[in-house]
Amino acid sequence: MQSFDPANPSQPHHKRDVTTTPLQALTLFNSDIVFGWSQALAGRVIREAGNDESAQLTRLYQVLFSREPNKAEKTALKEFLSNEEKLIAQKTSNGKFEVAVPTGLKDTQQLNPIRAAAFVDLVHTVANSNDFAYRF
Amino acid sequence: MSIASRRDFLLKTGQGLGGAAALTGLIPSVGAFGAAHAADLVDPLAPKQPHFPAKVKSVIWLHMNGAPSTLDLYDHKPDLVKLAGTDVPASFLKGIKTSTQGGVGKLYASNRTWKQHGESGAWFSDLVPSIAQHADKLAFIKSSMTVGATHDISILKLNTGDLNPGRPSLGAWVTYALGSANPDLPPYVVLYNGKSEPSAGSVNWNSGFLPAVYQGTAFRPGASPILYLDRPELRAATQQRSSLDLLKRLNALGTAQRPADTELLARVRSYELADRMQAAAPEAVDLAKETDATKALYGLDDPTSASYGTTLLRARRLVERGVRFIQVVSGAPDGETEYTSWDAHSDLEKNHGLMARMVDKPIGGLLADLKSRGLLESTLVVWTSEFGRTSYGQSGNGRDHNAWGYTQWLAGAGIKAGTTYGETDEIGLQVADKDKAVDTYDLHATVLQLLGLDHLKTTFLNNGRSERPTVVYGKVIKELLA
Repeated sequence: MQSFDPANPSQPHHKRDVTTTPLQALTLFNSDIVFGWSQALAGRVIREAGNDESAQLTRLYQVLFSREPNKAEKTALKEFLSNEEKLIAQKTSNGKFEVAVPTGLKDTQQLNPIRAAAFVDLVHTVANSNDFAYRF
Repeated sequence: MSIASRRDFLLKTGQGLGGAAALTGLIPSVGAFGAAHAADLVDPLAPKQPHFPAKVKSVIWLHMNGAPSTLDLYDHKPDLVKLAGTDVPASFLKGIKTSTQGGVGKLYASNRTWKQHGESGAWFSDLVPSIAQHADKLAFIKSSMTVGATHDISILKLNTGDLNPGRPSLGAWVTYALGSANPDLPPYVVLYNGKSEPSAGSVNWNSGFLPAVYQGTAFRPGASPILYLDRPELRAATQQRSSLDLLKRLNALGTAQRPADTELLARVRSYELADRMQAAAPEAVDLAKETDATKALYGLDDPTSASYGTTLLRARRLVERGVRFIQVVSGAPDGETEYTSWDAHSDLEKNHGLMARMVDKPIGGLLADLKSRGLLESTLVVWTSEFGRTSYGQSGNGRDHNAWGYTQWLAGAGIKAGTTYGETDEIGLQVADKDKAVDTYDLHATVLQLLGLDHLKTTFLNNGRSERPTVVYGKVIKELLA
């Protein structure tokens, strides 16, 4: 976590230095911990919004940003889901079935695992976006 | 009324966060930098011009961790051999406070044979036969001195110029002053020999009060040198790519509304950099394309020197790729558990036999390789340690810490090769002429000078005070410069 430049306790501060480095980006984008959080958040959103995809996107934006996605964002997200679903389907077509699905769901909630894995990727990406990881 | 529509309401009435966000967008919060430097945040690593033209483009900082006895490597003292076994004459101890723990033992001479090498006639012991081949490439500082008697604080001083954590390391200053010469790799890389990071740790490559972007990046041994360089196991490369594309698209929607926010742009850019780094970093440390002859040159065919040789070969590859500052911590041979550093309080013969065998061939190989590739024209190699070791013995067959007189050397671009600056007294305990003493600050000032930087003009405003790499000390040792 040192790459996120926490305030040095041995120095006086009136303000934390703001830094933006590729190592921070790598950590947020590739760390298993952050990816695990994305799986959990995807699970929560599906739990709370139900199986309707449009409602899921809205709920995700409410949770992360306290607002609803605008039209351009919704279009981008839906296109991403369809494309990502195809990519994951290709990956799993070789017989090895390994995808990261949302976590924390009740057994009763039926999901298409490939579409759900695509949704995890979507949540992970949105959580990496400037709207979330930036001080607006 | 839901949260979302409440925000909607506030936005529509023109009193809400939209207005506030636009305002912060125009006035980025930039910490100690001040708004005038906001442009730097677009790319704080953009290449910057030095104060004056310089030959050195990269520095390889070879930290001999644990403090070698330079009395047994370079600083030949016939009188010490003659007086071995007797008490240290009182006159030699004047002005120094010796360690209380180990006490001052009898003068000690190790079992060395000495020879002069090259046209310069520099002395080398039998422990460093490969480095000796490059006698005429080196400029010795035989009057090195420092402060402190324990490793961690003196190592900190060697790297940051302070006995307490918090100041930027030399590499961080260099990166701050010159920026990066390769946008796909970190400009300041730390390499360590061994499975775990050196015990003194990251405070030695910290950026201190400088922005964190200038800190050293420790490359882990092995094929994946940076943490989180690999994507999570369950995600295919194609998924990664499409996620990054979506990220770009979402971020573009936001940045389009805030064109004046340089910090926001920097964040977008950092993801693009990270994406490129995922490919560039593993390639930079991959030795698959190196020939067997090159590997042998670096001692990769000897289990004692193989792991250190690997780090130095990586260092050369990083130099080729424009990395500015490469800090190499000597560590210990792979699998070695008894001797983990040069810290020979006892069994100096065995310790230094092993440590010298670990570094000698790789360092000789590095100098030869840099030379044959023309890289020595633009690279500075610094052989350095936190302090030296005493002329008197400890535990019968070891030596204690010596901050009063030891040897370090420089090689490469801008250096007056084949010279020696300063000397120690007849038994090699203290710097002979105190006016010629070279403290860590002076070494830093000299290295900066070689990079085209005036250490007095390399400044950063921290808490209202203009700080520089050499604190309030430092002089350039002109006699070392070509």
